Amino acid sequence: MDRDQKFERLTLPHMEAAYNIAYWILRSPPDAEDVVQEAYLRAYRAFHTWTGVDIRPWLFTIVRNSAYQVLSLRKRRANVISIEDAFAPREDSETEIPEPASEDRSVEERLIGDAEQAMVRSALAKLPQIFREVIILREWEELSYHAIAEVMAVPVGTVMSRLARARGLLGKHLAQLIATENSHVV
Amino acid sequence: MSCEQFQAKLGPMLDNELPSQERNATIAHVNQCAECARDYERLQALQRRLLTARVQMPRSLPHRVRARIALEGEEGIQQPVKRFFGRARPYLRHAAVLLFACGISASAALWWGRTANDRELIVRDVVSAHVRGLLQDNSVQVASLDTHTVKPWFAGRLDFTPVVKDLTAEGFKLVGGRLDYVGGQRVAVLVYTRQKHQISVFIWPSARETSPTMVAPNGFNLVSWSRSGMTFWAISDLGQAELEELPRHLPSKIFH
Repeated sequence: MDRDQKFERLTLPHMEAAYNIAYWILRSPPDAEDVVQEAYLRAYRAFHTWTGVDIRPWLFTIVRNSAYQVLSLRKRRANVISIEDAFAPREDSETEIPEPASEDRSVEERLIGDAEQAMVRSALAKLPQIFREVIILREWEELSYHAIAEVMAVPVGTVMSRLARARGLLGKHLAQLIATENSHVV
Repeated sequence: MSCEQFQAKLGPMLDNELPSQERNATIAHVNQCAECARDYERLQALQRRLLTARVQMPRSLPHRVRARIALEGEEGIQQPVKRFFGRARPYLRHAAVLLFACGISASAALWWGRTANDRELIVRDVVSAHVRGLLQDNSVQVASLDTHTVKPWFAGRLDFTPVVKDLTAEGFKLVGGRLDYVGGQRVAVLVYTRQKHQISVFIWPSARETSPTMVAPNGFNLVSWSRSGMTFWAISDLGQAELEELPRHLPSKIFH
């Protein structure tokens, strides 16, 4: 029981972060949920091997690996199309592909704050994955360069250069989006 | 240092990653260079804006994760061992663990040989195969709207042909099929849904005829029956009464 409680106390506060890491790799809420469940289970099984101060780099590494596994599985599956998928478009609503969150504009999102949110999300979505990851780990999770290097399995220097590139690109994308937004208004 | 060199330090300064000496030099430069000051403000603004882009996890997710872990925890037995030998000297600990493991495996072998019947093993396999299915983003290898794609898909992969029937009219929607490994053999799995609950039906050949039996391992409901040369094991978190309807529809009459 001790072990279970310790595991929960350490890892549960970071579940939202884990969800975001998975979500921004897979861009699908159900897939992100599956990945978080799978990753937490893996972490739980391997918990006795963790010997650190901050559990986040270790936990996020597992989450990230799980997400990439699902991603590669998905890519492999995409090559296998069932006969009926190819010939018979399904008519029931279940197969409707949900719009990505970045472009999902519900009623509330028309509010100014949410429009801003949608814009930042689509700018983030435009980034190449390795840049997006470094942004998420740094700007949201405030991990040190060292910890980010651990999660992404790259040298600290690479983290620094990716972060600088990512911030530059993100600023550029945002400026472009603001420009288009303004031109629509005018 | 040139302006360009300081430019590269703005990010690390924002991230608190500069040694204090470099930090002081950079701050001094930013205070007198309007361009670098503007760039630094831009970085700060970007940081603030980014925070709005986070997505929220479903509120039920922590509960589901905890439930899965609790399920897993019940199966774990290494924990008391670890605590008991935790303070012993390393070599002593290794020796003790080794001895303990030998003892456990010997007695386990005896115990399994004597008391475990096939049924318990199959229940275990079925539960873990079902959970494995739930954890995948896609629990089927062949998706289907009707039986005509699922059945042929199994034909090349198993040495028997399972009963495949869409039971949408009866309240069980066929999602598709996959292969799994239960009781030491390859088996067919049909996946159905009913009101968002997933049901896995494991099928393999059997000469016996048995009427439906219900058990509830690890919080799931499980019903098994054998008829017309096949054994069926259906498992789900669906209510017992609803799951019990399934044996009435499988196997279907068209195979008689």
